[in-house]
Amino acid sequence: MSATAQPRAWWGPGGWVRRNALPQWAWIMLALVAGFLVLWPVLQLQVRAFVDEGSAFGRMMALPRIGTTMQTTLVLAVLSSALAVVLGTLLAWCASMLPAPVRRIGELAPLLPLVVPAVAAVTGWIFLLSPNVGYLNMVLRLLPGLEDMQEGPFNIYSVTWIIIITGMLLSSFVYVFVFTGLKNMGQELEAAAAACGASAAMRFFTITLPLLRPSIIFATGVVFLLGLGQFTAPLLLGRTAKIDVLTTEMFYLTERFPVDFGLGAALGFPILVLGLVVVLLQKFALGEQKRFVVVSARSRYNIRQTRWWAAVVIGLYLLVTTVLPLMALIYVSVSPFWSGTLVVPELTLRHWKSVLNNVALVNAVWTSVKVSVVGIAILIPFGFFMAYALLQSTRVFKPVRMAIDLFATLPIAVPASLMGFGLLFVYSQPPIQIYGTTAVLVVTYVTLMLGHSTRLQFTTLVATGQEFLEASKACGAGPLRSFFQVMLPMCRKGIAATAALTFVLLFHEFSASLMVRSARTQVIGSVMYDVWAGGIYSEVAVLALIMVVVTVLGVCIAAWMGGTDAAQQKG
Amino acid sequence: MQELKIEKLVKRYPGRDQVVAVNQVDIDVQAGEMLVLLGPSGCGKTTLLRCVAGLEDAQEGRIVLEGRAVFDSASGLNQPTHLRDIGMVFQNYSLWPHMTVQRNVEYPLRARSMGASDRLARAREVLEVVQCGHLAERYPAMLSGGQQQRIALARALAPRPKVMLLDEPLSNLDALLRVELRTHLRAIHRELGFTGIYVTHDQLEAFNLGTRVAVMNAGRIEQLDSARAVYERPATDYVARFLGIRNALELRRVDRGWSSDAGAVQGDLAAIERHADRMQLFLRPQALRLHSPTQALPQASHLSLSGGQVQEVLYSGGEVDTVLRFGDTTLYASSPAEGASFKPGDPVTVSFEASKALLYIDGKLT
Repeated sequence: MSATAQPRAWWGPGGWVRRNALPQWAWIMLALVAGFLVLWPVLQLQVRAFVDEGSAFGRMMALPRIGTTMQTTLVLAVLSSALAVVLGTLLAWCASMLPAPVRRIGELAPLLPLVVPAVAAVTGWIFLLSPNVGYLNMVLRLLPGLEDMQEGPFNIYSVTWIIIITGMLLSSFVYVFVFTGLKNMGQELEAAAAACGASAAMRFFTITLPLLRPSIIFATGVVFLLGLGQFTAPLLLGRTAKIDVLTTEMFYLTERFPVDFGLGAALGFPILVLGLVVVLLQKFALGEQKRFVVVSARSRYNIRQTRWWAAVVIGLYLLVTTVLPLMALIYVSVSPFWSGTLVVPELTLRHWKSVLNNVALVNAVWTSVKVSVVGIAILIPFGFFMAYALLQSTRVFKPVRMAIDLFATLPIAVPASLMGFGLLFVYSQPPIQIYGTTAVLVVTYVTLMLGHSTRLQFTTLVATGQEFLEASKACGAGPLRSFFQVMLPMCRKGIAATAALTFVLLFHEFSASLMVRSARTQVIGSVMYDVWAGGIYSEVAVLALIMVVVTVLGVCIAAWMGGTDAAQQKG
Repeated sequence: MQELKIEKLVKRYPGRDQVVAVNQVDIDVQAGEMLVLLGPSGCGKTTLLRCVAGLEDAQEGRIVLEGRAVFDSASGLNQPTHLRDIGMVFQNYSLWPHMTVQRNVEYPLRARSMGASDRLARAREVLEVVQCGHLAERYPAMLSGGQQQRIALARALAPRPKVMLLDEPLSNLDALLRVELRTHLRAIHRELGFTGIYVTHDQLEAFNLGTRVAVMNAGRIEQLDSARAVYERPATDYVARFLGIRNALELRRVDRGWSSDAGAVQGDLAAIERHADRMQLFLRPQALRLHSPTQALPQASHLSLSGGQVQEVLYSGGEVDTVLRFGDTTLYASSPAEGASFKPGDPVTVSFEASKALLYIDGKLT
């Protein structure tokens, strides 16, 4: 402000509120709603950990093997995310070297594991690597030298295998980020290095990898957070061998009555703190806007040599992560029972019929679909406006923008299982007692995915380029017109991709669903756990396959609605 | 009448090392005038333009469009871009790829709630003005760079805005196309007589198109004058250097004459007598005449430097550029190719008319 400017009143005409706050009311409302959704459960729950002079922490330390549990949580997070980063980066590199005939399909292949829900993949792996009756183990025992073994050679019910399977499940996420970074980067910079005489390997290590650092750091943060909150594999694989992590301990609490929310909050506290530290480190390491955009150069060069072995690597990855567990699921679903022999039995559709005739199971599938669709219908516009507010060129008041940024970050930093536990706590008591209704599932899903919806659409908006928006404003178009006639059509494909990914994540949602479900409100993931706990593995396989089929359908519908990329539109 | 008035405008980018991109700028643009902001990259010219458009928020000052303030730091007024009634052409065109040319051009008319038939007629009209009537149904991706630029211009012109803002509109085009479009733009401006601000780093473009030219340096206006005045009388040594006046000599007063690193300046010294002990002498290469040391020098108002040597002779089509060494100083002369007879290594004396010498004391033209 210039020295001559008069000090202005806060209130009244020309006051601060009238000038700055009032025109922003819509953004302020948005921030308030997001803040309520995200902060309310987390804060309410964490308060419980500290009342009574923190007696909850005392109860936590009194839990048997709590030291081991914490250690397992951390080891699992570190090693599985490390495995995921290495695997995902390797895949991205391979995908960038695919020969033309298989390029399109090969680039998509590493995303296919996302179509198989974690519960289904883990179940598939149990069928393969269960020490006694796992099909793969049985096949391996036929090999010379291994004939004498009664079980093994692999035991899926071990920390090692929990890490390997979690790492494989997370590697697709790394691939998404790193490959996008690699694509955006173009090949001009590599071409320049090649012109300087650098070999392919030298180019990769001196140019490509350093430039990809933002993508890799971001991906590492994301998968570490997911690894920290990892729930599915430890729950399904750890129970047999008494391997526990903090999130499974929390889940066991919800199975007892009354639920000791204070203890759950105390268990979640270390995860929450570590999650926030990771997010802060990520921000610190990457700066503000650079978190998502890598060097972008439109490239006309094609410098990377194509390699057929790259396709082989990707094929192998797909075989191990997706095809084998799926085949195991299919085989078990049509076998009379999971027999533990390699003799091909008479195939039957008994389990399919049994599942499809079970009203409770079919209802749960429908609930899943409905809640996911309603969730997306809320999440897409919600996230889009949040992302819009984060754009530098929109005139959103800075504190409001910072608040929105925080509320879009928190749901990513807080593991789904912990968030689910918090949601169970706040929505099972006044003032908003919606536990036991379908609404609690919708609220849970919106809260969980708000961060992803915002971040993904923000990336789309940034990639679309703010100049198009500026051009619209310069033509005299107001915010609404600019939004509906320019930004929305230009972002259609990105929005559809966000919708597809959100559908996958919501339909597969397991950890939080398991926390907030009740006898009357079940989703496919939660009933599947019950069936699994009851030991009816053939029906688990059927449910897992239904999940895969519905996911594929959902993704196809989203892709169809996205249509062709507006930017590539021709005549 | 003043169409656009910028008063004491300041735009800072916050940060550890704060950058003042626009520093106390005052500009009046008259109706029908095309004001060119000229300067090297980073001088603040685009930021200034974007402040006028409302795409950047300035911290201090006032911007008045047709007598109505659109930005005023004193009263906290900051009208959003879409209410400012401007037309803007972007460096990379920014045509929306999902709309046809026709829809792109109609867009600002829609935004101003113009009826469908008027819209159609007006869009056709401006498309004809930019000679692109036949492209109406195409999509931007199907157009060449030059065509896209014309459409972007048509889109900005369509609503007859109060002021046209052009941000380096020709810099993404190749040289020949640039010349063609420049000529065309000049004709359109003469025909329609719109008020405009045009940002460029290309001085030829500036002189061709500008009713007046403002040369910017580090967020400030160094000189604001007619194209001719800027070219012939660069107000500061910065402007002289930016315009590519390559021969610069530091003159020091010695006894009754002036000396420089290139040697003593000979001739009628009264012609360059100034009340200072030091000054800078700028000379365009075309102002220098070359003589062999034995040759007689021109008379009267001519000044000369002797004891030089020809270092390089570069033929550049029609003209010959000669690089000369005077001690540690390099001078550049440009003369018609006919009659040029100097070879590298030849001893040489240069002379110039005193009236062609641009003299700066403390960086200001005297």
